Amino acid sequence: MNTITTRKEAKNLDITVRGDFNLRTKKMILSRLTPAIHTLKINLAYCERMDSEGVIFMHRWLLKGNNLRIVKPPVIFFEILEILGLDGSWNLDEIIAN
Amino acid sequence: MDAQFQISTDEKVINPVCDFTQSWGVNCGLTTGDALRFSVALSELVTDIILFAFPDDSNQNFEIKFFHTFSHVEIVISELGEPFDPDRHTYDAQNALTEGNFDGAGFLLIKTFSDEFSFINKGKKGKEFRLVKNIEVHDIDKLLELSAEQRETKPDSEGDQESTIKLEEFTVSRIKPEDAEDISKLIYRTYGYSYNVEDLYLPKKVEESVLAKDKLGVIARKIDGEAIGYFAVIPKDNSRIAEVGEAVVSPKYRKNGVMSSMMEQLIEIAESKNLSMLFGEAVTVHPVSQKVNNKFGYKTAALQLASSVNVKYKGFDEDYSQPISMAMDFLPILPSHDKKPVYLPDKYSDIILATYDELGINVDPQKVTEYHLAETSDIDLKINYSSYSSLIIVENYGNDFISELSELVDGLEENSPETILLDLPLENSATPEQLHNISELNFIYSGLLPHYHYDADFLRVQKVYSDIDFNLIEIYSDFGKKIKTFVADEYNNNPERSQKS
Repeated sequence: MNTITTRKEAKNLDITVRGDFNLRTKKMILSRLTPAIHTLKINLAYCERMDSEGVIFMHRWLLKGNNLRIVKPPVIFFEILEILGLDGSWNLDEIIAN
Repeated sequence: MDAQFQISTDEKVINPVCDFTQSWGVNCGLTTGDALRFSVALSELVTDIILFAFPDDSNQNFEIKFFHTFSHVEIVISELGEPFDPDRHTYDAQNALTEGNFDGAGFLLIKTFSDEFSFINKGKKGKEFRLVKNIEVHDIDKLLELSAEQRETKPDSEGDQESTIKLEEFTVSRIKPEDAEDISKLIYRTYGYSYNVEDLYLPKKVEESVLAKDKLGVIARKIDGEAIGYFAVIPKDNSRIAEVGEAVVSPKYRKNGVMSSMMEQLIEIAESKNLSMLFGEAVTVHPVSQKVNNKFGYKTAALQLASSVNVKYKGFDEDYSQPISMAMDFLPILPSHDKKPVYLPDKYSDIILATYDELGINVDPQKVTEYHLAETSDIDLKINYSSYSSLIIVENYGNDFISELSELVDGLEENSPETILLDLPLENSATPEQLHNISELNFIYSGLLPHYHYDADFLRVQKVYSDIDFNLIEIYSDFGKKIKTFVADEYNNNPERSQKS
């Protein structure tokens, strides 16, 4: 089952995804966003499967000029980024947190 | 079929269905990486169905079926939601980068993470999506490494003649799971890498199919135990008939009657299993297989054009310039005493009756006075991804037959097939008129398939998309040549073909 745990702090929302990052996960994250939030930190250490819904959500978040940090994304994330031709536009050095 | 789920259009189901798909994929032989990618492809498709086929309605449901063979896994999804056409949603990376417009992204991932993706619009019966992932094969190399020392010279037609060894004695016995490795080695030693049934190179796959009784057959051995021949009989899943095939005799032991002894035992196996018929699909690039069949009483009953992609059969068809057509040869095992009623379309009546006569099957052709159509047709579809051909089997005709079939053919044509085969039940009184009603679809004759589905006789017609040079099709028997001439005439007079030329 995919679930998320979240913690809000000022303009930041920390999210841990457990299970898939898919349509349902995206909707759960959207339900916890407020206009005040400008930085998302998404921990994907417990996520093995991600589909385009997850990647598209993050890309649109970046397009709006927001900040994004992701932790330990699964291998499939990089494959999807490349297939969709987004790999060149993402500053992965900055986005992927150590 | 491995599994069948009725899935609700609630996004909560995406994760568990994908989890199942991934585990099932691994169990079927996919690598963990491929199983994950395939489950992502399914995730994309299920998401698109939820979002676009059933927008704002989480109370509907749709069906997912899971199939596997030794060489691939397949998922078939059927749904009755709003029409949408994947081909109209093409991904544009530039649009995505600048506008955030990701239309078509899901389908791009589905195509990338699957080896085959097809969409079939079934009209009022909704839409069908098929995803296929090939199972990677690594064991071949190990097998070859192990057997390298014992490898025989690969066959070449000249060499064969000179190097055959006279055998005083050999045995032929039913195959057992422990024969699997010898069977794989025999295939390699005889055909090198060129044999077109890849599973035969995998001892584990052969062992599984023997254990599961998917495959019966015989193995010939010298007195010292060395395997020198193999011949299989593969029961059909929807009828009491079986296909003979996968015939191989080690090149240096040919001309010792090994093939004939094996065929004799296969016929005994068929009799003991109470099978009504054996059949074999013989390539027409050379007459050798047809000759063997003919020797044992098989009769050619159908010619299937462009049936397989141009696979190289060593020593025969290096320069063969068109997809390979197959002669379908049948051998009745149980004698037929009763004259069964059949309903023959006028234009094929003579050739079908001649074929029945050739096979020694008694039939009683009926005049159609009236017939009743069901509300909906009962049609089955099988797609062969390696030969780009599809088989449509009509079990029963409904009032919607013409529209259903037309939509199905349109849907299949979008995937550029080599051939579409259509099997029509000859014991159904509606067949003559229904065949006439679909004449605009330009199917041409293929032949008679006795006992082929559901233990009933079927007329096979075919729609061929390749250019066929009939001079390249070698048919051995005189009656087979008559069928070839009949098929060639219809092919050359086909309106679609005239339009093309």
